[in-house]
Amino acid sequence: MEQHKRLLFFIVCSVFLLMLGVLTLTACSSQPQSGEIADISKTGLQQEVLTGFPPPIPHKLDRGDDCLVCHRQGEVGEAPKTPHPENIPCRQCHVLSE
Amino acid sequence: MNFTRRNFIKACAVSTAMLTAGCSVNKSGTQTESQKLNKSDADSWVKSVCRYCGTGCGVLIGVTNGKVIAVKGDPDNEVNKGLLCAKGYYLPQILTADDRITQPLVKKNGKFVETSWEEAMNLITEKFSNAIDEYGPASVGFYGSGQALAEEEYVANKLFKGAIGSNNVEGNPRLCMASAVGGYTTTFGADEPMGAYEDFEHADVFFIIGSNMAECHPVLFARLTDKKRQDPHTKIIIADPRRHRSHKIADISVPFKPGTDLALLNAMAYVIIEEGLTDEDFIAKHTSFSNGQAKITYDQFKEFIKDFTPEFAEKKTNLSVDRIRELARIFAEPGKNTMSMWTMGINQRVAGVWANNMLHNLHLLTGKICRPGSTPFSLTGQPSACGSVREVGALCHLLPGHRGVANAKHREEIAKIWGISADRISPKPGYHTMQLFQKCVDGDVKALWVMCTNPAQSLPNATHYNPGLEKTFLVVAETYHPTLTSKYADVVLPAALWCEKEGVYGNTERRTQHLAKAIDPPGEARPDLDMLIDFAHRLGYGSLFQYDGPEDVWNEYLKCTTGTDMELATYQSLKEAHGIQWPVKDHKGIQGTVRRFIGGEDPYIKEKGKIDFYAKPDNRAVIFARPYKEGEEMPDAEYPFCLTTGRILEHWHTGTMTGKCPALNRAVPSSYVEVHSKDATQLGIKNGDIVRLVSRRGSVELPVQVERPGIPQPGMLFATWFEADRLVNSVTIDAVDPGSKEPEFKICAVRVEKV
Ligand code: SF4
Repeated sequence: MEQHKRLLFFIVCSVFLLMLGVLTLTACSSQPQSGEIADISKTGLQQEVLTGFPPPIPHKLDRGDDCLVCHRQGEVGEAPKTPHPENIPCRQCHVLSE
Repeated sequence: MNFTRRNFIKACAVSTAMLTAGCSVNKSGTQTESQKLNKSDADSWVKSVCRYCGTGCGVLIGVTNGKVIAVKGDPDNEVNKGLLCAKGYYLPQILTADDRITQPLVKKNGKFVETSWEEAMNLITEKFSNAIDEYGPASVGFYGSGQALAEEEYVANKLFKGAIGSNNVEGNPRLCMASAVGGYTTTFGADEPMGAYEDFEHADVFFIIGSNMAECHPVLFARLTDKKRQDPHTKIIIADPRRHRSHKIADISVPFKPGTDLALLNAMAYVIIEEGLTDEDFIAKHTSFSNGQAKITYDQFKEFIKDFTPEFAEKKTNLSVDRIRELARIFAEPGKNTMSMWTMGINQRVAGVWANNMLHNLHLLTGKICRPGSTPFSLTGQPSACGSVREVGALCHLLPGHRGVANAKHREEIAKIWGISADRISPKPGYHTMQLFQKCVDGDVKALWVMCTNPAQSLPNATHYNPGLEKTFLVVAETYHPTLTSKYADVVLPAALWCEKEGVYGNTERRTQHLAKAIDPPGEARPDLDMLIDFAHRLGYGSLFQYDGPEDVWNEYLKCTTGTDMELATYQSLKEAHGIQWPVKDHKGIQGTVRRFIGGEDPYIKEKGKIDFYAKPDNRAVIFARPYKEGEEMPDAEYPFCLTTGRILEHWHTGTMTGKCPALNRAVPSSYVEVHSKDATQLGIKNGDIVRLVSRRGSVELPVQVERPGIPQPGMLFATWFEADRLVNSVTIDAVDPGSKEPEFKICAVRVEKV
């Protein structure tokens, strides 16, 4: 039960952190995101401005699939730091945009 | 972005260390901050379920001015606790695609013209009636979907089996889940997993075979990752001929030769018995043995399994004897909990049911079942293959509530609820999926209604079957047009999609969930339920179909589950709760049942802690002696490669929905074939080259990806099949498992030609 609660806590945290991530990433990203990517067709709305929406990946993955190599600490190049490094399958939510 | 190589390597080390050590950042500070962000951006948030995979994530749909503006994870849903995958986040885009149809279409002189509902429905009624009058009820059929709502499948099932008198009711779960059904019903006497996602939190060992959870069940994979992170001693074994994204968290990878996993599974049973890793007490109390024809003794089973030495398996699988022994020991380690999970790699096989039985064998021999963290758990591919098809009985041999058409008592029980005489339901199973489409080719099925699925793209050996769709009078109730299927239609009916209607889904873990309506469908699009009820009335069966919406249908369906082993929750409870796992005894409450067959959890067992496989007449689960069998078409000199097909995270099934999301399309623009680097060198091909895959049945051209994103073993190819323009299923084989009638999508022989 205890474990169960812990998992729940982590996942709830991850979601909160994911939400925070939108702001962090939008604020820190050196490359502004293209609105087109997240357009909700025909509604004129853009998802990326919505709370909790995972921002797309604005660069090529020329160094493989391990995003946390750069984004865990944010110390490599100008990579923004992820607010939820415990979620390792990054591309579960963040899609490639290039 | 500027990297230095040193930084990169340093960060790599940190990254790996964090995962293995289970570190995480300090969250306490950020949590308070992020709560400030938890403001609502939409006028209202509607509780629903993701439209895609069998995980069944709860979602909240944000609606402003009658438009869906966002989808977020439902934090109160136990399945995903607020998390989604990319497909889920981009759901709003499937609603507003350009190719949505909003008015019925009728084909006139080879061209589709818009028409009224009245004209379309009259034409359909006339054609179906004529076929039934002239050629009998077996000349018409229905092909549904594990993506339809339970109420829709229920009404279709009743209309065809109970009113028209045709058992030709099938659906796409035949293509993906039938072997799992066969496994659970033969071994335990009852369909569907007895365990739940909750078992993740208690398991020590995960044995994952023929399943790429990272791409096919992403949120479950996230749960698994989290478990591993919190408890680094968790052992994750991934048995798959291809190295894929799920391997990222694997402790042990088991790359057996494609099509030889039955040797591995039986050899594991051999080692478990030989090394005394069995739970003799459990075996004595809760199991019986069978060779498929008759009961056998435990000793006879031991005698049978003697042929399946690790040495035998080594020859077949290319795994070492040591590796096979090690796997069996880890699986069976006393005091540990083991959960196995599998998907299409096991099911889509000519020996799919046997492979399922063998997996259950391992759990039964070791007693690793019916306790938290120990369970054989098959994962479903579609959001409601379980809820709408397996439970509703919308396959040619089934009736609602896990009943069969061949059983007189079952026919009587259902006939009573349907308000018909029992002899109205034929005792003979209808055509199973591959037969049904063959009968279209032969001209024996004169009229077919296809709902919410795209068989022209998803059937194996598609180019053989597609002319049959042209031949028969085809009604396609779909959301988008054209699809490969609706192209062949005589009438296309515009269907409301997902949150444009309400109803119920049931996911992999027996969880029934209500989807509320969030917005109106566009134009004249209607829910499939309305179309089917309308059709029933026009055929003259109005008195049997007096429903005032989905809740009414649910209430009648609920009666079909009363007193069975799968009593469901009431509509009201489903609307309130964030998913309820059946059985729900006497339909009461919202509590549900996490684990079946164990007293204290399963409401049908009085004694706490007692294991009881009550769905079997002798209350014992069956350990099956199943022989070794390879794929129907293994590679040879002429067709030297083994082709397997599958999913990628960003796309789903035939891409009719994910193909509408610009971001997903950009991420993965086209189907592709993955090739091992050695094979690529030998064939003289590189990334991006187009190659032609040729099988005995057809060919397809695909761009090459060398070891990206997965790594197939040499001699093996992996292709995605979501793109309509690259019909991968023209190559795949239509050989079926004789027990489950599920085709062997996972193995066929091809050669590669440079284009
Ligand atoms: S994991 Fe499956 S159910 Fe969950 S959001 Fe992704 S596609 Fe939808």
